[in-house]
Amino acid sequence: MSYNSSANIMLTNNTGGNANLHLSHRYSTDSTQQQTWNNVAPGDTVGPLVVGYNTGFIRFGMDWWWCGAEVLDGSEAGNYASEGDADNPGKECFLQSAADGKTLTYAVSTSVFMLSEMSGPCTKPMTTVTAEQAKQ
Amino acid sequence: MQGSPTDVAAGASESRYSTSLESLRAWLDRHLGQFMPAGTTLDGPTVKPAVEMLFVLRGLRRAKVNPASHKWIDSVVDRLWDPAEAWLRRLRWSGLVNLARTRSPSTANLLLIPLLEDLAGRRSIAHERVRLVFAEIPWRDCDDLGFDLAFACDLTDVRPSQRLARRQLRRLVADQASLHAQPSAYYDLTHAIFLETSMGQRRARCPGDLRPELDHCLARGLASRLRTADLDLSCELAVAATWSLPDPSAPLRAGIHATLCTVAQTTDAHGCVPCLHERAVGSPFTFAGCYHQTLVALLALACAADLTETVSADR
Repeated sequence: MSYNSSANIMLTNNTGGNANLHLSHRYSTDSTQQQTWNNVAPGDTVGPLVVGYNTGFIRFGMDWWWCGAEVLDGSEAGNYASEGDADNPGKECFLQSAADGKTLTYAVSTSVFMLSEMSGPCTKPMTTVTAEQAKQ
Repeated sequence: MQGSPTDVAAGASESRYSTSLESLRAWLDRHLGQFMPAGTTLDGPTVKPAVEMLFVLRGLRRAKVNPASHKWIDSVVDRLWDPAEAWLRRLRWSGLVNLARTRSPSTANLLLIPLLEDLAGRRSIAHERVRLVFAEIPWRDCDDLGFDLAFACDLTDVRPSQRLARRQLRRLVADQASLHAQPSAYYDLTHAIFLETSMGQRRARCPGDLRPELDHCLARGLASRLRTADLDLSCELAVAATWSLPDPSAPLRAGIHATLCTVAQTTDAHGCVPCLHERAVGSPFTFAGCYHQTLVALLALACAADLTETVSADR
């Protein structure tokens, strides 16, 4: 089965250090779409994670997101993650029909996971977690 | 005068869920302003809820609901008519033809007009224009047309889509493992039935050889969606089962019954049907988090009467 819409998600490393970045998306209660990028330099943008979702009448579905960052060096080296985990993303932020076929650039720092949707940004706090939790 | 067995059956079902139905109608009445098309563009934020409301009202017209329900449908249609006509006057029609030629999904928002016309029994100022726009949709491959545009072309007689719906239904039922692996695809199954029946307005012609598999597929989908408290999709599956299968199996009937009971309990507790299968973020009672489930729950509960009647008549 396929989705009737998809978007390319890029992720910018704003953690201030080299980092392993993890991004996960879930549409409705479907299985997740995940990607990991290792040794991403500060300020660099990686991707895309191609995510599928549905739009249209008389159907309902939300988009859920999770981001983990293992910051390897720099002044804020450590492990950070947004709410949830890779298999159960905890941040709801709608992908709209206008995003179909588009490239969206999200950003992660040690304090905030920012999702720049076509309709405007959504944000979610990043909190300190264990190394395992940052990549799950 | 004594009612016929059909009247009695329909009345019994309406009565069983009458409190819940009344609560759902009251919630929709209170939020009707958020279903009014507004702005100057085809894809304003209220257009999608408005079209979805009209889809459900079309289905409710089919359901064996009591006269009070029909009056409610008429009153909603009356209140939507003038804002819809005002919105149509503000649209830039010259650009809409190009949207149709590129098969833009936004074009389907014009479904609002034929749906509203049919419910109101009146002719909109945009009656001809809408059909001209839909006639511009190019037909590359029939199977790649989504539900929204296919329904629009079918409803306006630009292109009948029942055959497309049947092909989609057969393809989906043949690949149940994929449906189960990606549960949101069950909406494709319900929409194929909605398209074939034009939201319950015409009889589904489900081939005999497909019925057992479709029955199993719907029952499996219902069980799966109920386990995750996905009431929106559960309600759509229950409605699709009612409209497509004259004599559901015992497991499917049990799934439909469980859906209706759960929805009625949820409605009684909240007055609407909030999104429960996702982890609620903030208030679960926002309009965006409630309206769709509330609409399809209303349809599912109203269709309970249809199910009772159809099964009684077949036996």
